[in-house]
Amino acid sequence: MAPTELVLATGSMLAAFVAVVLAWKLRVLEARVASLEEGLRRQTGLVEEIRGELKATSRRLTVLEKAVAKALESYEAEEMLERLRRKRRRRYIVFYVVTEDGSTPKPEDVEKAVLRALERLAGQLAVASSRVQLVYYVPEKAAGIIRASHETKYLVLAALGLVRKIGDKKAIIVPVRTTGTIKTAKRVLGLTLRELKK
Amino acid sequence: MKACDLQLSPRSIEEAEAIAELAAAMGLRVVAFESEELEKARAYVEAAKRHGLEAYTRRTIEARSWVEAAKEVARVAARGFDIVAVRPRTAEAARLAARDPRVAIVQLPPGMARYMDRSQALMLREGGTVAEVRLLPLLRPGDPRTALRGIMVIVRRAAAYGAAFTVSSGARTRWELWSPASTRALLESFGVPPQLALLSLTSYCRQALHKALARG
Repeated sequence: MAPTELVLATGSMLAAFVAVVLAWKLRVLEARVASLEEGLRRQTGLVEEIRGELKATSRRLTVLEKAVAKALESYEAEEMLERLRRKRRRRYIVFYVVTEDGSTPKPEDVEKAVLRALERLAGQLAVASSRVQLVYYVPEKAAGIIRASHETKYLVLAALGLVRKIGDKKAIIVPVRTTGTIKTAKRVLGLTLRELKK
Repeated sequence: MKACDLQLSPRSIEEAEAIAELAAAMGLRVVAFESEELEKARAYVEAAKRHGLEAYTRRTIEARSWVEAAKEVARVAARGFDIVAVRPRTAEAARLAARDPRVAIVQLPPGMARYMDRSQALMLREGGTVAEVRLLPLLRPGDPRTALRGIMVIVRRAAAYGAAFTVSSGARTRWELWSPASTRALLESFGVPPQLALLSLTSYCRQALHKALARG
């Protein structure tokens, strides 16, 4: 074989080898790209899945937030009501009644007279806010206890001064003392221990 | 603390007895009886003393013109009434009565609320005289708003300008008496500070009595 032929044969062999290697490399690369594409597709699916889950979680969180806000709101309202309830202190006014003929007026008449006097002095709003009530009455002594809110205590006491008639008889209500508890008020009335427990 | 009511106007000795009895039960300790006749007033005072009250005679002069009223004040003071009070009907009478050494009390009716101003308060302070409001108009039948407003304005202004003031019932019968607790509560519901409300029933009355009795 001539040297030229030898060179050519070797060259073509090398070229064929290179072509085979390149073809193999290309196939490997193609496989790699295909696997990467597959991986990417899988990742994209995962991302979509996560995005969906996040959306659902966010929706759930919004609902939860609304529920918490409502709960807080009602808690604050409850707290405010509790504060108001705590502020709503009461006072007990011990009084006795002096009538024209020394008779004892009925408790309903006494309460009515006090309410009328309070309305005349300070109006219906004061009657409503003072929550005046005759809580105890001793007919034998013509004395009793009126409950009122502590804020309107002065109005109720002043209204007692305006009472000049109970029922259809001339009468006067004399306030004796104002206390913070009904127990003390009953003590002021001079009730026995047994009566105090009633 | 002795609560006072410096104007009681009973029409008979029996009524004075009844008033004194109820006043003592209500917790009043010092009272003054109003009468045109000194003997009657003294009889009322004796009746009140029997119930353990410190009592004085009093005469209130209605003053339109101070020239006329001053003569009447001098006449009444000379007759021996313990307390001489003036119920002015004009601004001039209110101002001059406040500075008169013989006048212990200037009684302002609800209709004269506007006269209780800074200069009136100054004159009351200068003369040591006490302004007085009467609660009797509140007990009249009908709408009490006008009287209530007048009394409220006088009391508030007196408290704000630092003038001594007192509240009396002007009771003609025992059914027109006011208990000290109710009077004090009424003042406090007008917005007068509690200490001043108490002073108006105790120390300010004492101030009027001191001035009246110092006259000799």
